[in-house]
Amino acid sequence: MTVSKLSFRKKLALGLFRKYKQNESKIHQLTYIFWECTLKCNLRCIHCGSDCKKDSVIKDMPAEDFLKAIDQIKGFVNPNETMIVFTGGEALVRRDIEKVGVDLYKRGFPWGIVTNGMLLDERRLQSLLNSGLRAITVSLDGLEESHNWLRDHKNSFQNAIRAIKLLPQTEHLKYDVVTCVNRRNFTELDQIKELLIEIGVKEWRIFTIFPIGRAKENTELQLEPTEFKALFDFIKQTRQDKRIKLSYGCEGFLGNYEREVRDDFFFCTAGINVASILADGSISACPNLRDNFIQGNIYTHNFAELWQNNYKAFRDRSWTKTGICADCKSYNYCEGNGMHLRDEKSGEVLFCHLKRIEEGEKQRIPN
Amino acid sequence: MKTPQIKILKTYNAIIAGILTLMGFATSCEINNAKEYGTPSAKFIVNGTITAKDSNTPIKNIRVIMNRDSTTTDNDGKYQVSDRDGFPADQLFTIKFHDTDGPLNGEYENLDTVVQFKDPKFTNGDGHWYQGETTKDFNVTLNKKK
Repeated sequence: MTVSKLSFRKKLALGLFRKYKQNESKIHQLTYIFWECTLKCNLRCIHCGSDCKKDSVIKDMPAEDFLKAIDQIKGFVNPNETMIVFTGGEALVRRDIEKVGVDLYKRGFPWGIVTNGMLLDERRLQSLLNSGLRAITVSLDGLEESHNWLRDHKNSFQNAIRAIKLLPQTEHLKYDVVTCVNRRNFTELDQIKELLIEIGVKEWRIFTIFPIGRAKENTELQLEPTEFKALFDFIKQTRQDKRIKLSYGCEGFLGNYEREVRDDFFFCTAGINVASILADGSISACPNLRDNFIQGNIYTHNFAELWQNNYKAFRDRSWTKTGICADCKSYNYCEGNGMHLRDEKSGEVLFCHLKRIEEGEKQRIPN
Repeated sequence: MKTPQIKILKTYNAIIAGILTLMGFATSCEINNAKEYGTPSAKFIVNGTITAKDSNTPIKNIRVIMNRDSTTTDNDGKYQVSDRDGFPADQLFTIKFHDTDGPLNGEYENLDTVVQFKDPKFTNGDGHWYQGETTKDFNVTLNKKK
């Protein structure tokens, strides 16, 4: 199997799915809102795509400002079908998370958090659950040494594990563990898998580190092409084994690996189903889309009007057919990769998953 | 965009989702269900009887798979499967009926199809995010393997 040689059946399905995506763009039903509730963080991760700093002096957005924006969209979304996810920085650094959670709960919105687990002990989890927490994602970026290296904190691994151990025991909580794969933890994937299975984790998600934020300066974080290809073989095999449900994250068209390493075909839903409210009030699509991708600000715009009338660059991606995408045979299936992988200023694609896997294939095959 | 246009597009997409399911690419269009952090939930239960198309007799030991749940039909060809994490709204599930016991009990063609919950009513919710359960009868007939 080569990554770019698709079967007729898969081509047909991808062609149909393309139409599906076009329809979704026209409907653009808002179902997911990220709130970058703070830029403060208790770690200083090497790969962080956020602008957060340990000693950030930027004040957190008052909760009432965020809730005011949420109230603006109540008229045209079904709150029960619109998930709100607190991200950061480190969301749990904010002390009023529970209060905001209850306010969202009263409005009918399910909510969740993404956390590094440093502050998630039994007591805090119970407090979050009492406030309506519905879903949680905890990061685990390797075994002890490599996790602590990436997270730049000697206790980060043990705290993450403490947090993860709480999750399988908690009823009615949707959870998963995410791992950012890099050159250091790549060789540990089997051991991480066994560790998670032993803890009782059912769902595990893998991301690769993309070249934005702090990761832009540290190329060591990115897998070599052969490793990159091998990663998808690992995910595929793990899914076939069915001991833990492993999926690749939501980015990148993966050619023949489509549907082999995650449940769905690639579809970047930024600005189509997903919006974000950033720490300074900026309204974007995903939290890591900044600069030219910002659509407005909650302090100067009505969130609902903005969602209905803006986001044109997200809903018509034809502009992404430039640079290496211009003559790519898979463009119709991919449409320019995830929006977070386009340069925020020039719009050029920063990373192509398919090409990276192809490079890995070529390097593995001796001449 | 006006509501009627949205309804047409949603219907169009439901048809695409159905075709993709029949092609063996189920869940590719369950975008809202596949979101990473979950939503309010409900239990969707599917009951039914599987019979042979030519003789109308029940078939036992047919494997029935719906999302993460699976079972086999009993001596009367009856089965029940459920999804505990569905979103409490209209739902479309892929359901698979596979003959996995070879010539024992006869050999039948596998069937992959979809079961739809339209305007489901939920009972026994917990008053919080779990809104309860809903049940649908779904009987199928299988063709004998040629």
